[in-house]
Amino acid sequence: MEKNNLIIMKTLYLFIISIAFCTVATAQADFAKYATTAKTSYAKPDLEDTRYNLMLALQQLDMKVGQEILKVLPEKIDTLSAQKKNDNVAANSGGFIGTTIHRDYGSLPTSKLEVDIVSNSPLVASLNAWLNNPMFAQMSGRKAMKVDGYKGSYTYELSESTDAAGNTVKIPRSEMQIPIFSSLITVKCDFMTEDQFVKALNNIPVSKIAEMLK
Amino acid sequence: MAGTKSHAQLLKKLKDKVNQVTDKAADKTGTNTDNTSTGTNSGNSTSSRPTNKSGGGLISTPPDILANINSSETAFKDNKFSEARFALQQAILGTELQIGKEILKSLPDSVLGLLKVTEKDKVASSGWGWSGLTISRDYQKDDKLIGVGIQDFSYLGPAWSMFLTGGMNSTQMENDKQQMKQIMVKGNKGVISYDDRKGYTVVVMLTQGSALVWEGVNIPTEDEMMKAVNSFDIDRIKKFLGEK
Repeated sequence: MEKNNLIIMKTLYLFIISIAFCTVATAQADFAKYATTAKTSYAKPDLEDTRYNLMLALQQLDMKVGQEILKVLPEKIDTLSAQKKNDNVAANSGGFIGTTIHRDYGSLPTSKLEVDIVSNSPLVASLNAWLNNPMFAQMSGRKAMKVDGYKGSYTYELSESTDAAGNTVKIPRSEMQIPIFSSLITVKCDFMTEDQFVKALNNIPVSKIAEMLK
Repeated sequence: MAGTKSHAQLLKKLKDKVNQVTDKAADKTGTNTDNTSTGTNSGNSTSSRPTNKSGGGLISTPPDILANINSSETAFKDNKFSEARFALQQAILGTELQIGKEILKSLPDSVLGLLKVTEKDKVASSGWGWSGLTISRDYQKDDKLIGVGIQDFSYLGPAWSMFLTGGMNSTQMENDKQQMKQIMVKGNKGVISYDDRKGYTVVVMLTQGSALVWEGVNIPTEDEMMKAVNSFDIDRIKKFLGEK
């Protein structure tokens, strides 16, 4: 049952990320413009148009918050530099997916660390109920841990794969999930030892990010 | 999801256990007022938690839409994003509640001779945006009931689960009885199903994710149920929801 629940959670998480990337808001229209249009529509009154413009304003706000979060993320984590060309903020239009923020540090084949934040999502809020559960945090393969004072769930595994020459290679994989209100910070890394990963995690300003995600 | 349910059941058992233990402890410390100094047995015990029998409820304060939009603009300019978000969500909530009330006003007062049950009219909004607006009304006479629900892209609505299990694209038969079939309701595709325990259910999915759901309890025939469904002005509801 535990394994099934893990599979359900991971599937749900991947589903959230894939849907969000399909609905990227590319327009950088002004938040104020949509707020003003909403007020004008309400005065008519055109409630449906009011709602539509308020939702667009919310989307722009989420984009802005995403950009501000990227600014507070470090330029470097240990020896890994931020790959800013891969930075991504996607404010969805579905309402329940939330906003996704992504940054890479370093690159393969040496080491790559990924920071993904899904914010203000009702779906994530229900997922966080699991992550905040102390029983779940101690399930096999998981460890409860704090980063910048915030509790999270850490997993570490050695997965096997084969290289170009056909040799079996053991890849250390670490993942930390930190639930914050209805948002989730996920940090993943390949090719780091547990100690190295924990040291890297302490570079993430979780409390500053949490303040913006409230 | 099954895990969440069993976890909730476990928590409830733990909570009940704690309550039992605290009740026993209170009895032992003699806080039971059955034996009061006046010698009367009031029949009331303060050892157990009282149940609520009175209270004024909550004062209905729908959010002020314009004030909240203004607050969100000010907060955004000051880079107070969580305040801006809260104010915007309140504005969305207020707008959706108003839309819900307008939709309810547009619904008929009676259907097939069943009168609306005004005290059960419901409008609920989460303020999340394109998900979570629910409007519902019941019509009832004796043991006959028709319930109508309008769910605006709600991921929790029963309409979603019906469609996710392929209800829209399938016809289901059990033994010789047809349990589910596709229908058209005023030009909109839908599905009607029947269950001996629940009665009739009709779901019409609108263009951009909103769903209209009707439930018929003790409605004698499929034709009667469809007559009830067709008495609603779906085009007008679609206009309120911004659907085409």
